[in-house]
Amino acid sequence: MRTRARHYAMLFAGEKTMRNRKLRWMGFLISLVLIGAIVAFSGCISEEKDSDGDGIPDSEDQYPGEDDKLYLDDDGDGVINKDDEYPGRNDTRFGGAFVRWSSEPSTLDPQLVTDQASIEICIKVFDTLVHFAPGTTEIEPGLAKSWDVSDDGLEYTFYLREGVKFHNGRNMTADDVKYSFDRLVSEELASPRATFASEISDVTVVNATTVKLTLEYPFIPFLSKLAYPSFAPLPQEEVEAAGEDWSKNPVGTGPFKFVKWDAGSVVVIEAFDDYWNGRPYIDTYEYYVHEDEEVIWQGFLAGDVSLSGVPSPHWEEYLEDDELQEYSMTVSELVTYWLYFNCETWPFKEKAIRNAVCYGLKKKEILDTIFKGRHLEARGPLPPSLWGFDQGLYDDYEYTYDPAAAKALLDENGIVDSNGDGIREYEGQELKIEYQSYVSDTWQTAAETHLANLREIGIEAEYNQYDFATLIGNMDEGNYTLMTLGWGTDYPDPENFMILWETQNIPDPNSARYSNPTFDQLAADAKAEADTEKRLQMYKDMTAILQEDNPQWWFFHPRSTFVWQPWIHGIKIGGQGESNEKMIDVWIEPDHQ
Amino acid sequence: MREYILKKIALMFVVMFGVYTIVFILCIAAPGDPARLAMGRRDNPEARDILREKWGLNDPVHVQFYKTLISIVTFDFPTSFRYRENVGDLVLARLPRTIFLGVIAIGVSVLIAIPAGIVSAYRHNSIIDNITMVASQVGVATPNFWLGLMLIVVFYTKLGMFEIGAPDTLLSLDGFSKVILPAVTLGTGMAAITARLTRSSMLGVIREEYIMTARAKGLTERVVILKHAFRNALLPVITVVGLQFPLIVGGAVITEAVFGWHGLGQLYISSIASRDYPVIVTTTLIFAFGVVVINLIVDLLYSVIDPRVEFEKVTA
Repeated sequence: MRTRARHYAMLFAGEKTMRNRKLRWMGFLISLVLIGAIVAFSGCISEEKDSDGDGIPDSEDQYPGEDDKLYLDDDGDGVINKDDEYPGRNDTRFGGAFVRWSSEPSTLDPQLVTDQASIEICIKVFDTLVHFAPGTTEIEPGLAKSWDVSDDGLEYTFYLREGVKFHNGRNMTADDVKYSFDRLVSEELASPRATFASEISDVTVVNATTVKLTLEYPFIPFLSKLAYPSFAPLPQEEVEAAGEDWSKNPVGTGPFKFVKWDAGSVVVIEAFDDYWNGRPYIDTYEYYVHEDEEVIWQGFLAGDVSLSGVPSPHWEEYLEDDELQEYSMTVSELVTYWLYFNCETWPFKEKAIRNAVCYGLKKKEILDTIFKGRHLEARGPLPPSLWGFDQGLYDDYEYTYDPAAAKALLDENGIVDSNGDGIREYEGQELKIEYQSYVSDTWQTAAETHLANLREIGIEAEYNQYDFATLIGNMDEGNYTLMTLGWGTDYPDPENFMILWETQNIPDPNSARYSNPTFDQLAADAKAEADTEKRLQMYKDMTAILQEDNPQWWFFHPRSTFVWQPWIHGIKIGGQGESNEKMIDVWIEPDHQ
Repeated sequence: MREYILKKIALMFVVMFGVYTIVFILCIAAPGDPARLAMGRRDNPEARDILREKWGLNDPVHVQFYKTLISIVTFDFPTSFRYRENVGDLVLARLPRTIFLGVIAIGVSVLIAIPAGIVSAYRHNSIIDNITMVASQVGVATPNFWLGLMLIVVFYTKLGMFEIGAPDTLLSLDGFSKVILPAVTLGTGMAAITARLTRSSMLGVIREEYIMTARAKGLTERVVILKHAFRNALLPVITVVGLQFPLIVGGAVITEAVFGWHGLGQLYISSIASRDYPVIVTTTLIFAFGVVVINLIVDLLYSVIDPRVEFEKVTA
């Protein structure tokens, strides 16, 4: 008996057999299509194969199995990358010696440098976490490829480049940064530059390529300061092995490595092949010690010196020589020269007398006579090439040469000549002062005019020159009434100028012994002000205060003109001067290498 | 003679101690703090105090006097304030250059002066004599720094005949090429003095009777002048050449700076500017030592030139 269930089962089986047959055909057809598609697709894949991973399919690859980029010429020097010893640099430019004649460096320990001659070498042998872009005062990444600043401005985290080598071949790490920063402030070193690290409260190594600097208080110009060579990482093993000789055997991470320092004669450094930013073009940088600028000029004319300043006696010769001018540039230095008034003692504690002297002293005429108009008359503390300088304030400065105004101002304040001897009295004493300067023909010439100017407004001055050591001593002890000196920035930020008038910095660097609570507050606020516009306004306000109070008689902002030989290229010089440039892009024509 | 030399050497120590005492007192009395100068333009009081302590500047003056003296006498030289390097090393690196320049300068001086002086005396009141004497007057009156610069402009910049600067090796072509101009600068002033002295000394001798006798014997003029006259005229000349050594030292300070020669003179100047007392004291003593040794050599040369000189009598 066929059960109903069985019947259905058979029916179903019969239908199933029929359907299976159809399905098999369809499956067969689909399989054929699929196989065809797979075969076709796999055919396509095999055609697009890029076995060397250079983004070019094997079928089109001119150099299968090798990265085609090796056969490109990225730097356009005619040498393909594969054969290029110095990728990213133009091979035809390598070679030659760049020769400088200048004053003698006192040390090659970057943590002890204070003079430009030492900086000129150290900036090339040592690299820093950040540095200035060539020919500018703009901060750019150096050994640190990037950094973060915490919202409160107290923590700076630096991410170091990997594979940066010291000249001894060892890789630089965050430990080297910590060691060096600790050494800078150590009592054992007694570095004059320890003050530069005064804001840093802690240096923490996060990992081999990350280091965190914690500040005591927010300090906006901090990054500018870190470009100073004293903050360069040093290899501990080399410093300790060299001991007292370290300053004569420096090892850094900079573009040039040290070769020799023949005491008092020459320093030679040579290109470092493994410099992280590419080997410099020049082979050697030779620095010969010559102190006399006239002799240096003769060396330049003879073709032995690659780069030189133009001494004032040769300024007209320079202006008349087209070739000299073609290979030259003029830089407005971050420097201001002035006469300090001692604002703490008689008679210049009296603002009216300071202002009267500012009215009374000739400036433009002296600059035109002595420097033949090369330098810019100063009317305030900040040089025009420094961020924070304000042209409006410069133009509106009131105390330009006007002896009648000087006399009127003194008369108004009751500072008059009561006994008819031509000299005014103040607080019962005749206005007889000393005018001090360092040994300098320039200042001597200026002083000759100034003594007559002062006499005209009823002040008698005696001019005395002192050697620098004595002058600095007089300055620190406040043993002066009127003194010549100047200031150049250690790092390009107006803060480095304004510290000179903060009350807390008396007697040094506030050598004018000037004190003004409003100024002090602005100076303190500006250091921590992260808003650039607000900070700029603060420096304008500070400048305005100084231009009204005149703790100094502002003399001039130097403009240096540099000339180089026609066969030298790639010279870039920023406001910090030629000594602060790394010179890695400078190259010499093959005929002169 | 031995006794004489020993006495002289004993006297040398007394002179050296005197020089040391005077220089030390001058250094201490001079205004300006070396530790402050080491700070650069901007002071760092903490670091300055550490340096003062480290350099012994806080010690009582008599302790500083004693310590510095002992360190020099035992050749365990102190550390330079400016260079933070052993003073002995600093001085040794520069001393050969100054000696080389001095020797060549004296050589230049003698080579110019003695023939000029002899010819002037022999051709007394002739045109040659007048030219030589005017030239020597100009030589005496010409300041070293001016002459140096003029030589640089003409012979280095314009003609390219000589190099300037400090050579890597002294006894080499480079060394001689670079020493000529500073040596001529330094030697010219001395040559002028020596030529005038040789001339007057020769004039005195030429008129002596023994010269007439030599001529009467039929000797040639060459033998008469060079063997009989010049040898007798040489004594005062040697004295003056010997006494010119301090002039070399003084002149070298300026000449070295102009030519970038980098000897002791230049080190001396820069150490005074930076109040580098260890270098000032050591360098002064070396100069003083040089002067007394040269004086001793000159004294000894007297007996070689004039065998009649007896040291006991000279001492008396």
